[in-house]
Amino acid sequence: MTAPLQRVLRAFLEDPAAPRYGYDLMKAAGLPSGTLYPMLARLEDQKLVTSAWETPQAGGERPRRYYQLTGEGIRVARLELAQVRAGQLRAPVRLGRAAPGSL
Amino acid sequence: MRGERWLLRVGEFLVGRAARHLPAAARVERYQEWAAELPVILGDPEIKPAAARAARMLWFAADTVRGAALGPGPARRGGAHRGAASMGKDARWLGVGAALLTGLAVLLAILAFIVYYDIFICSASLAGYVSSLLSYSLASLVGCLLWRRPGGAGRYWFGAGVLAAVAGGGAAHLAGHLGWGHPLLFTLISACGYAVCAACISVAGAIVIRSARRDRRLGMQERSDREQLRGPARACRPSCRFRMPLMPRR
Repeated sequence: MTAPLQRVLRAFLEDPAAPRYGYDLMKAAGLPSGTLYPMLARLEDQKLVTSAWETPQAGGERPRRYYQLTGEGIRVARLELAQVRAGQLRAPVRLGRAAPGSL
Repeated sequence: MRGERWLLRVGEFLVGRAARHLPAAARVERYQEWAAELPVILGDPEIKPAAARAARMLWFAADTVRGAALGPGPARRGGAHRGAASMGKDARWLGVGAALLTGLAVLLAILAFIVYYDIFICSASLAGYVSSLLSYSLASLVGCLLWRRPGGAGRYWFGAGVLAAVAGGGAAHLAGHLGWGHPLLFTLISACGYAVCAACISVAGAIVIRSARRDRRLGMQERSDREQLRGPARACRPSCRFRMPLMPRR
């Protein structure tokens, strides 16, 4: 699991029930948009994250898209982060690019 | 904030560019999502001063271009996930580019030597050389284009331009040798010849570019007609064959 992905999952797990929008996640995870959005798309493809559009507001502002971990996403995220933590306790973790189809 | 509307426009332009890199199915949704974040960033009270918010917003928009270019979709050709076929094509273009650059460097070296020799050793005029060089470079470029695309009115304009340059330059040269009239008059005649030459060659260039565009459009039409004939449209009315399903302009 890559370091940016760990940060995103940690940001989600701060309050798993709360829907988060992209900029909010960017700030929480400290990631640029070019890294975050492809990651969110990948997580959504893997059904670990679900997204929904905000209801249009009266002020004419564009509706935002909110992301939330699915039940499976919460379970997988907790498990993966626990594994990373356990790995860090045993040996220095190797951070690299995730293989396609894996976290 | 002053200029907020313009900043948002720039941001929207950038996220629009990023969205173009995405597959068609995700393009509109992503654009709307990114565009909705722009005013939020611009109004973020946690970031101060306003210039920092503007910079953050532009950085957000610019980075979406990077992220989209690395992902799957039409951007694959320019991104990090290129296939072997496109890599071969890129290598070919790199080879052509390197060859062209080498040729240009050699040509420039030769020209520099000639100019150096004539100006510093034979004490010729620099302005005359610069104008001649520009004219010859333009003429060579258009000549190459015309050589690749035989026929058309561009050839006549090119010929007229070269003729004007030769006539103007020749008259000035001859008059200088024979000592006719005032030298300034013949310098003017020569400059006029070069100006007419440049104008004619520009017209020839414009004609060549226009005809190239027209040919490309006709080629696209022909190809789409062929595809329609090959595909399920073969069964439809004969008039369908001549419909031109061009891609919508973005």
